Amino acid sequence: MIIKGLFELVYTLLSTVLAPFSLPSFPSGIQSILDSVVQYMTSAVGLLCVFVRPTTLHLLIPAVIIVINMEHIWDAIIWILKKLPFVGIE
Amino acid sequence: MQVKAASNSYNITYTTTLYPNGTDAIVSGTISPNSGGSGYLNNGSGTITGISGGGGSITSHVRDFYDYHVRIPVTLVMNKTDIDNDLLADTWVTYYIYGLNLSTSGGTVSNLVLYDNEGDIAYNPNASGVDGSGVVKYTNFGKLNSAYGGKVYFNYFIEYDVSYQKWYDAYDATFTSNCTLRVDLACRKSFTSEINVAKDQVIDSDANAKLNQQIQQENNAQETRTGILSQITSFFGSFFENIINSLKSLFIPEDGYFNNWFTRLNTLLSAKLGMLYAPFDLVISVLTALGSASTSEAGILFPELSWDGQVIIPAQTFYFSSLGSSFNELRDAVYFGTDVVLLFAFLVLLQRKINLVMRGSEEG
Repeated sequence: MIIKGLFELVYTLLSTVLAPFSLPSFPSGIQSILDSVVQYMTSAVGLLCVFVRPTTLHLLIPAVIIVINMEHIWDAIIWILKKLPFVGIE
Repeated sequence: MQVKAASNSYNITYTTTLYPNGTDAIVSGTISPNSGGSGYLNNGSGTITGISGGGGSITSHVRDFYDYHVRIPVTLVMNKTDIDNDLLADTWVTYYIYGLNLSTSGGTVSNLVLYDNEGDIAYNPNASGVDGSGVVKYTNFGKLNSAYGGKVYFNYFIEYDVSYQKWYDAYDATFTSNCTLRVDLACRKSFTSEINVAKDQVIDSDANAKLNQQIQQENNAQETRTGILSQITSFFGSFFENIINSLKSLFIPEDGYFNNWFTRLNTLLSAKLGMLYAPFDLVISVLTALGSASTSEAGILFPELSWDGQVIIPAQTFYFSSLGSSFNELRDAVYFGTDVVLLFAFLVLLQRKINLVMRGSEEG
């Protein structure tokens, strides 16, 4: 409930802050080039799967993201726990 | 509850009467065959009067046969004089026949046998020959039958062998025998009573009902106690389970919440930030492609070649799986090698991050 509330708070703040903004997208020509780049990169994933097991990718990518941001996640957890008086963390 | 049998013994005095009674019996009849045969003289009747010390005579007219027996049917009727009516029906009695003294005239008898009503040999005082006296005890048991008015009927035969006798009358010898019988009776009746084995005592019906009531009350109390304990256990079990679930729900949202949240955020930022969000959108697209990759899609995409809207070479994809089993074996070996390398690299990263979080430095 706490995590969910915080995420919803972040989303609400962002949507509130960004409400006045509406930046334009790239022109169609540039957007087309970008789409082609994205297509090539996603196609490269097929080539990557020749050397790396897809299952390994599915497991390691979220795990690596979590581990790389471990200190931030840890700080966030401690910050939350400090807000709870009955936990007793100073 | 268990039923246990008990028994008592009653000594019963009987007066007994032997039938036919009162008249000397003359065993007579037609002998067939006339000579050289064997058989039984069954149609005679005898008189044996009195039970103790009494006697009777049976006269047989026999001839010289090599295998001839005199068989005297006797019916013993015992009248009860001192017996409770409740013992009358279906009560087993044991009777004893003491002594069978036989004195004969006119010849020598042998193999004196007393048969019971089933035809079995009940008494054979001397298989080699009896001539006169002998005291034996024959024990058997029968059943009092109320249909006979408390009388015990006992049919038996007295039989003796008169073969090869030299009679004074070659054609119509007379053989006389005197028998003395004494019959004693004992009665034993079995009955049952209820014994409470659990309490190790005999109880009557009222006590039995009280005991059953106590057992029922005890069972009810036990069920009540069990129900209370069950409720308490259930309460505390669900209490701690609810606490754990509450703590979990405090930090962990429901399934699919993060996917939904990231999708909403991606849509919001893409709509508001426009071209500024393009790099992030690119990363998200690559990560999504990585997440949805599969072994069967391992291949190389060749994009289409077009000029001024005219497609010259369409897009094509070469899949490595089309190379056959040899490539699959090679691919599995490569997979194993990359798995080991990636796992090792992940563990090194994990160790560094743990050191960073716990000790403030990535170096152990």
